[in-house]
Amino acid sequence: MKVRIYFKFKGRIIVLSPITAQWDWLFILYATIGSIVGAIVIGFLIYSSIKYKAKGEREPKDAPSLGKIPAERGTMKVAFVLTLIVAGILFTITLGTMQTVDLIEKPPKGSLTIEVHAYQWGWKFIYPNGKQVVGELRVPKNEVITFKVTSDDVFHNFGLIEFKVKGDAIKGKINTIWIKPSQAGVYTIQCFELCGIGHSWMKGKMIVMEPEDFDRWYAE
Amino acid sequence: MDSSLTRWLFTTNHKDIGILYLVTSLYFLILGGALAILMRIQLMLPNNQFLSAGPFNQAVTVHGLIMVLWFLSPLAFAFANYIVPLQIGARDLAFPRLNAMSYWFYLFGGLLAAVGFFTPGGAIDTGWTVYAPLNTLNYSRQLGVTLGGAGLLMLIASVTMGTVNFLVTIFRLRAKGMSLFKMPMYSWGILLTVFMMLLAFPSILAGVIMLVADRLLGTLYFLSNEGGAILWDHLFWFFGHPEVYILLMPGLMAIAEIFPVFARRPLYGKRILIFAAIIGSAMSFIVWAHHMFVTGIDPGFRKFMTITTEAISIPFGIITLCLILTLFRASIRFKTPMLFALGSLALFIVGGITGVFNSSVALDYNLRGTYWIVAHFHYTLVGGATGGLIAALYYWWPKMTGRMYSERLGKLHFTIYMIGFNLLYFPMHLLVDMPRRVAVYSEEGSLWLNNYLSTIGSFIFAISWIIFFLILLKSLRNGKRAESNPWGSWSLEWMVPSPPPYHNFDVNPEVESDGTIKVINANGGSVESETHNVHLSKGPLMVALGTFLALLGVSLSIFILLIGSIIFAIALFGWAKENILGRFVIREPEVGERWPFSSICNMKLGVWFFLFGEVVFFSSILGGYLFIRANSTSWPILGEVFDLKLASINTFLLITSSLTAMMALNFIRKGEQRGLKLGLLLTFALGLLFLINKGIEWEELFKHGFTPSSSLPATIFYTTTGIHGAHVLAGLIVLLYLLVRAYKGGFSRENYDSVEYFDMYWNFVDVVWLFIFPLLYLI
Repeated sequence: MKVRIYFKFKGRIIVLSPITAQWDWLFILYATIGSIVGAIVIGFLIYSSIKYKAKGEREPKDAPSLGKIPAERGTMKVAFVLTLIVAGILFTITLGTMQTVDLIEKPPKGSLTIEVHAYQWGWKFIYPNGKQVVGELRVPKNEVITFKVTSDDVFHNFGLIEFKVKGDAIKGKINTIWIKPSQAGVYTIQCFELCGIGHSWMKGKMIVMEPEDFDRWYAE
Repeated sequence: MDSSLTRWLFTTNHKDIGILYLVTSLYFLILGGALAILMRIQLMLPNNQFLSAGPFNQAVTVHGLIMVLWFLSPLAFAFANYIVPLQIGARDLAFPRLNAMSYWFYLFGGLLAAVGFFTPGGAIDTGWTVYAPLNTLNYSRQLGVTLGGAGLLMLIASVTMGTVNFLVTIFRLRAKGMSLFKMPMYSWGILLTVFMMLLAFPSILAGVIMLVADRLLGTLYFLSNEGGAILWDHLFWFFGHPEVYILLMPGLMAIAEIFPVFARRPLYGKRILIFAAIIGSAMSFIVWAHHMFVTGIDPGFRKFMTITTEAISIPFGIITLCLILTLFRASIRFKTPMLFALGSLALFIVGGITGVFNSSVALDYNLRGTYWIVAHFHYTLVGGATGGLIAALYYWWPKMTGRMYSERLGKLHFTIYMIGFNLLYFPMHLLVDMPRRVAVYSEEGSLWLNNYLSTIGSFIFAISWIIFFLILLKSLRNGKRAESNPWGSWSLEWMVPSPPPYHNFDVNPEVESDGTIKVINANGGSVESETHNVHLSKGPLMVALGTFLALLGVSLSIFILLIGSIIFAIALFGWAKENILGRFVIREPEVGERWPFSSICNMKLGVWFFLFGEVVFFSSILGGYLFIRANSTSWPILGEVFDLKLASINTFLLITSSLTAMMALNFIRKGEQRGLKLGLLLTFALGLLFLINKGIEWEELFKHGFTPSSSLPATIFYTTTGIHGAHVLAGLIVLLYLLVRAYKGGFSRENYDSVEYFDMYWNFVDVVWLFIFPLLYLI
């Protein structure tokens, strides 16, 4: 199942990669629902606080009194209704999540696959033809690029900031992420897991090139 | 009241210990807060050079560890110690000396971790999550990490003791008629908290022991690919996620305690709220993998954890709603405790909603490891949990000190607190492009503005805490004397003077069926007078000090280890002597509410709870083994490494010793002293033989190059059997004590409890062996 919501965004914002649009869509979904729910609940909290501020010393009939266990009040109905509402909201956002996960985790076929080796403190990239580069990654525009992320030492995280996707780099494990960059340019690679003294500077560059430029560079 | 140093060092009284926890946790708050300010100053501007990466990483790590483990939970336990016994109508906790020891282990554990700052390479700097394999010697050579691990071990010991103590206290020492549902909400919060602690902490204990073994003995748990990062993740987060609910629950329940008092209406849906809290606590154990969503774990498992993580918002949503409905048609008085309760609930709601974002695997692909996460958990743990506990502090302060504070300054504190908090943490939501725990960020991008705002917020927030401390000091100096019930509350702690007398109640309280709390005379009206001296004990402090030095010695020098061990041994000896001479007497009240544990005594229930924790602990250790085994391609086949003859002999020895231990118990039940002595002696001999035989086995294996660092099977073999051997050794030490007592005629037909508890423990240790033997030797 593929949701191609990102087409709707074309023209309004630049879609860097299919995942960025899908991610934005999902985040906006969560943020909208979250803000509405938050506004209602906190609004209700503030409203009740103001509305029911004590006026004078008069006490409600069932006010707590010393040495007396307070009477019970409230029904299960409230809990039941709330459960239904929350469950409904969760169901909606879960559907959105599952679709997005599908998109993120199933790289389209026929892609350029690059091995990513994280190490203290830098990045090494190995291309299918055996070409190796350090720190500066070059990829062609408009092509699906799959990254097989692993680590040579400690736990790192391969983060492509502008592309809104990250892969945990763990020794002995390979995690897969993919992008399909639509714009040529220079993008940031950064480590998102504390990996020692050099963590702050564990950055790299990803240069998205026009396909023909890339081919020339790749053949070198 | 006596305020000498002796009182505070050797006290076992729950209120004194509560004060000690309060002061210590606030001290750690200042320490953790100062570290946070240092970090915020560094991050105020791009490319700032205030702190370099090394000190920054130490600040990040120690800030996290202190705030989570040495500030937040202990602050909750300050009130748990002081207030819970009063609320349920008890004179003290079930095991006062254990309670004191729990405190000293907490304090010394913190010191042990902090010693790291003064060693070369500095304190632990791996992040509070201490991720593998960065935590191993290969990547973090400095002593600070080992010391951090050792400090954690002491803290876990402290928590375990506290857990057992509070469970027994709440289940067994309630006043007559005080059913579980009648208990005030804070006591409920602590009950659920200690249950979660009992289940969660053994997992991190297993993890830390493996880590310390890796660092000191060269085992391979976290260096190997088969264990490594993912094994640590599982062990850490199986603890770590319940831990956030452990931190949250007391604060949330303090809010539930405070709302009805200041809104002048009973809590809305108390039962619903309690059920929701129970369900939420239980569910906190099946959500841990959401911290590992993008580590590449099994998708099916991950789907399950996604659903549970989302679903856990339902019980907490219900709790929130019940709290808000309490305000409906109420008559709210905005005193300082109420303001903090309201404010922290609002902030918790924000943190709860951003938490739902994090339950989405898809969103995690981008949010993971960013400041969004930092914003989320500070809203829940500072906004929700800490705010709730500060409300609790303002609420119970008059009770604990007998002094009121300035309401005007309290409101000023609240206002500045809320402004500072939101300015400090809200901008972090917008720093989705910034990794956590970076010391430096560059000028490109738009990171600086939100960082700048956040730092300004942190200064305002810090000022609010300075006001807070001034309020407390001013109150202590010249605050108005507090009445016994200044807020118009209903529960038992408010029925005694402020501060309460040493023995809490002149007479045993009782709850009548219509909900009236009465105080009837216990011993024909005679007021019991208990003086401090009866309840002073040197043991707790000395045992903790001995352990502290021993662990420090293990990391630093054999000499300190030796001194520590001697102090430890002397302390244990003194403790045993105190018991044998009957100098420290704890009486269980005659009448009380004890459902569902009415038929067994306190000590036995305590042993049961302790063994339950042990089960989780060994499950974690063996679970770690099975995890590694499942990831390994090759493993030695039957008989390739181990001499099955020796192992079989050991199995035989241990099973037999179980029988002799039971024999000893049966004899003393019939009052036969000689049989008891014989049984205990035989058990001791068999246990000793087991250890000797184990030693021979280890030596043989060593000779063949099968050392802890030689392979994963060796790593697991030595760690697992070593931990089990340590349990046998501990059993033998207890056995020695029992033997001395038996030869002094300390047991009789009526009095044989200690033998019974030992039997429970010994049988447990044997059963563990019955798992270890096939799992390690035969498959």
